[in-house]
Amino acid sequence: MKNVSIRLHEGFIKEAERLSRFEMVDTSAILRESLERGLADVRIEIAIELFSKGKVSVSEAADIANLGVGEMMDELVKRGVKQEINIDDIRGSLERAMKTVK
Amino acid sequence: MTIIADASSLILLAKVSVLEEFSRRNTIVIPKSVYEEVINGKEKGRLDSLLVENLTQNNLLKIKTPERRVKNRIENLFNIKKGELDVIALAYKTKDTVLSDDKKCFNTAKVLSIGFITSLDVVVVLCKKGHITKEKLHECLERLEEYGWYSKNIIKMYRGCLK
Repeated sequence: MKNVSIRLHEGFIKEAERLSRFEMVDTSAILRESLERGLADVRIEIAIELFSKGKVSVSEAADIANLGVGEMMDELVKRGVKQEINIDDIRGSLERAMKTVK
Repeated sequence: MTIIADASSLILLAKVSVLEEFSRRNTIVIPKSVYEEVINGKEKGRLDSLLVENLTQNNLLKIKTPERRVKNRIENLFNIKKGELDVIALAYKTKDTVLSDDKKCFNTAKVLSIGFITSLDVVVVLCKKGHITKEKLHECLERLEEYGWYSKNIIKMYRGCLK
């Protein structure tokens, strides 16, 4: 592990100290766990934001979020995030499928 | 004809239980990256992962790797990455049809004059060609609507195709 110093709100540190007494562990252990869990959420938030703006594909979003593509799709639909696909975007695809798909 | 599929379409077709039927009747190619993207969920017991693994083992989904040179050129031009990049790179060389439900992927296909289809097209065509029943098609569209990947308007348009 690597040491870093960060500035945190006093209330956040006090809460971590309180929880550390319940759990009978170091405050640093509580802070570390909180940051790790928070990072997982931040990853997903960034992936969703980029996907919803059309900047990344679903596989790229999954990679950013550190999820499988199926999980990423589930997460997107759970949050109501849709690609803005209109009829013009997919015009001609059904006719093509009629010729291509057996 | 060969169809080159990405992860989003494999997952949606697995969700509505037509991926096996579709892959038995058609030549489906997937890049290794797409295979890995879907298989990623295997440890969590995802049915789409298990099905894609099984279909690949039975050679119903064939894995191919695109040329690095083609990939690099497309990535630089369109800033597309991961499985979708490999799908486009394979199709660019072969001029085969891309199967994708990812807007960035099929928009890139369009710009490169590569034909693309979506999983909605696949379920409708399977029904039109008599491989699945109308009831099954309605069930598929209902499940896709319920899942929420596509808007209600798009699903409604596909429902209208059979009238």
